[in-house]
Amino acid sequence: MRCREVEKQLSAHLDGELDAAASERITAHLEHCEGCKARALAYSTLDGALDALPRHEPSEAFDDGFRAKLQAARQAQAQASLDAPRSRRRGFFSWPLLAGLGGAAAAVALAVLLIGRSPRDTTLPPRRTLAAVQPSDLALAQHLELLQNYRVVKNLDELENYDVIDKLDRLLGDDK
Amino acid sequence: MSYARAQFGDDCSAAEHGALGLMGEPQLDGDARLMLAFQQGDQSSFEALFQKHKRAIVIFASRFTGRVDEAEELAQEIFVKCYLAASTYEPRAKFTTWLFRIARNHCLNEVRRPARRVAGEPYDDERARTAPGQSPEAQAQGRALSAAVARELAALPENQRSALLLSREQGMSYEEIAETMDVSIGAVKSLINRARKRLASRLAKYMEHRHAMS
Repeated sequence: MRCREVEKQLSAHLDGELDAAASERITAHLEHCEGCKARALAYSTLDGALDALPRHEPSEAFDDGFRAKLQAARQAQAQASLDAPRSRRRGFFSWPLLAGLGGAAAAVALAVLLIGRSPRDTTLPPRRTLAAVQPSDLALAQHLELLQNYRVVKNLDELENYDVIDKLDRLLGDDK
Repeated sequence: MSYARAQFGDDCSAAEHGALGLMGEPQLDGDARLMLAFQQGDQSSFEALFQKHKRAIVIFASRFTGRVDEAEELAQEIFVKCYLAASTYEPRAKFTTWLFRIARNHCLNEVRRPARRVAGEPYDDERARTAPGQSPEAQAQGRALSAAVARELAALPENQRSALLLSREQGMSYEEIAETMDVSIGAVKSLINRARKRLASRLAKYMEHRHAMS
């Protein structure tokens, strides 16, 4: 058995954690190897020093201190369980949720805005002077709400709907 | 339904949960039986466990942290944790394995805290035990060695310190230490060997004095 292997197994040997055959091999090695024998002696001396360390005995107040801590912990636990439903209710309107709702609302608003600004807006004729404004333009402006009807704008095919066109015509005609 | 099935469920096996008795019941040690009784509401069972193990936990806490002055407070907190976590204990593990796992984790959290709770001397060498009839010089050497051992023990890497303490102080087998620390038996063997090697190296001068005087 080599010293390197003995060094790895020495603690397990001293602690009685090796099987009989392995332990015998180490014992045989220690009989003729001064270096490993010195190491084993050092470990045994160390164990003696560890065993000689003073052991702190629990004081007379130890039990009372434990009971006081336990009572405090149980009270805190009971209070936490009482607070839990309240915090869950508060949690419904918690900042993360509000932020999420705000974000969703902003997304909807942006979508409506983008839909409202359809490509047709970019093809509008250049702004004309007030004198050039035709009565029909004023009528359109007055009934802008109808033109901006979400269903109509979203689905341009609706503009081919006769009823809608007829209504627009009549509105324009009324203004003439 | 058998006791074993009531405790471990329908898929329990002797291999998984340790040896079963003649009637098919698990062979529980006294501590495990006390814990089961406590889980059923018997407060006196926990009191019995507390009285039985409090000394070992105080010593473990003082050795682990290197601070005698805060060991009691830590030990009390460890037992509070055990009390509150009792429902998580399963009798397939030895009670001491479960108890010292909690103790180790709690002490580990303490030593990792940026601001330790107590300021003071980590070790009082006046408490070191000396053999009766020793000369004053030998007593002084013994105290110096004890102080150095305690200091170097507290300076060991946490895993090495845990493994060595559980072996030397608690007399746990490598298998029990492995279960407590959630590592392999091979790892425990290596940790304890490295701890001894490091301590022997750092304490060589003190131990040479001891050899010379003996």
